[in-house]
Amino acid sequence: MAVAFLAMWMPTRYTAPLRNLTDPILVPLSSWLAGAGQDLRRKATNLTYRPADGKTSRELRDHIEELERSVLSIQRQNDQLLEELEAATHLRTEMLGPRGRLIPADVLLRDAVPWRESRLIDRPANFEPKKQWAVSRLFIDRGRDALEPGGWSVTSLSSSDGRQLLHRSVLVGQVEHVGQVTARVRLLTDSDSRVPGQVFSAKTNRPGPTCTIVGRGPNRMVATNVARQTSREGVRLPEGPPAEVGDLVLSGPRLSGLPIQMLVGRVSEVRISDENAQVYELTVLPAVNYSDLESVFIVDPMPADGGGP
Amino acid sequence: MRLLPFVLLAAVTLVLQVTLAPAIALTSAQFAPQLLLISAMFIALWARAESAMIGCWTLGLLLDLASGGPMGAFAFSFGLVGLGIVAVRASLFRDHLFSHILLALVFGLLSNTVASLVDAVHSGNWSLNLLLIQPLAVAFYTAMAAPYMMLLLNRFRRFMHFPERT
Repeated sequence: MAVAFLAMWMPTRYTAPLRNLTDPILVPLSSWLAGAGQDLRRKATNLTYRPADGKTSRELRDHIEELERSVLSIQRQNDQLLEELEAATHLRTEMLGPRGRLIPADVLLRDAVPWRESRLIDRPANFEPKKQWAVSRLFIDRGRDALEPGGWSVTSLSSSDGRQLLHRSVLVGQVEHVGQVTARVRLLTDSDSRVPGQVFSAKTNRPGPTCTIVGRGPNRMVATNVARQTSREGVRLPEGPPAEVGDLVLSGPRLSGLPIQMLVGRVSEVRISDENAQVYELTVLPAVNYSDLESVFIVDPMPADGGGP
Repeated sequence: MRLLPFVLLAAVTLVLQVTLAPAIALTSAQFAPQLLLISAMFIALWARAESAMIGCWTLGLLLDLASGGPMGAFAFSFGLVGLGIVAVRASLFRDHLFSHILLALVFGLLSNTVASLVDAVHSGNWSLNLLLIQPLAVAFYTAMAAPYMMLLLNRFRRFMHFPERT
């Protein structure tokens, strides 16, 4: 008991290696059990499904065809946006130069404690233990997924694919600990997570005040220290809160290890801070559902020249 | 209490904690039952005092190893749970489901509060959600799941070789 009491107050870097003892046993057992559970669930769904009568099937087919037409339309708009994004990214790359790579990793397990927000991922090969960021894809490219046998491979950020992948991703957490076969990612919603951020106005399409994104438990974050801006580019701004419901929250403009600002979430509530009436607090909903994370990409800011793919 | 059955119990419960518990979690806040706590309660109710406390401490340590928070928080708090249950078990009907519910609620709240206090000190986040709401909700859900899991564990009591009288 005394050892446990002392261990609670020790820095994490001394106690984290102990977790390497259980991961090689826990992960295979959990994967087998999770797979068996999914098989059972699939079989149960097949047993209980009853095909509808002819009328209902026709309505379903019509509905599906309508959805497919909508998806095609959205895909065309998406392609156009991607072309514009590609042009902007190309300009930025010429000015600053691309660096780094995206390393795919599968999410293996959730945190065993309900209110702690971390995920155990498989440690990618040639992965050096540093405080890299983990991102999740926002748009799923099913065509590309089908073409990638065995899943995604390490993608260089100097390539068009790598840049597209990064721009279509959402920041979800930071690598906290790397073991022999696994690594632990602390999500942005963990109470121990503090990340610099910036508000982006959805109404004016302009960046807003900077803030600190603090985790508040499952699927919940708060942007703190959001100061009201009195002017922008020499123009006096009207009185009012610095952000509105629906505004986006991005990662900070100069966040170490991230080549670009990345989407974190969306503002769902604006209120004045209890501690300081001069600043605001924003409730931020994550852009992706952290509960359903199956795979992430690690942003490794290694030099692109001669260091990797 | 024999070592091999305890190790098997610990391993199976830990695997279920990280796979089954999230699947039956409630609401977007992911309130899930603590199956390891129920196993610790089972050990503390029936094993000798020394074995019970060591067993509870070990189960808490396993939970720490499978989590990303400060190491030792649950080992310490589960040790307290073992101490507490050993102290009061003579006054309880150990087979009664109400006893299981009450113990899981009280000691679940105790262990979760201790662990979340340690989390708060480490992170500097003293929000009411972290310190009270989450531990209380998880303890409540654990208490609801306790009778079912204890019913299952009691069937395997003889394999644990607990002493006749404790």
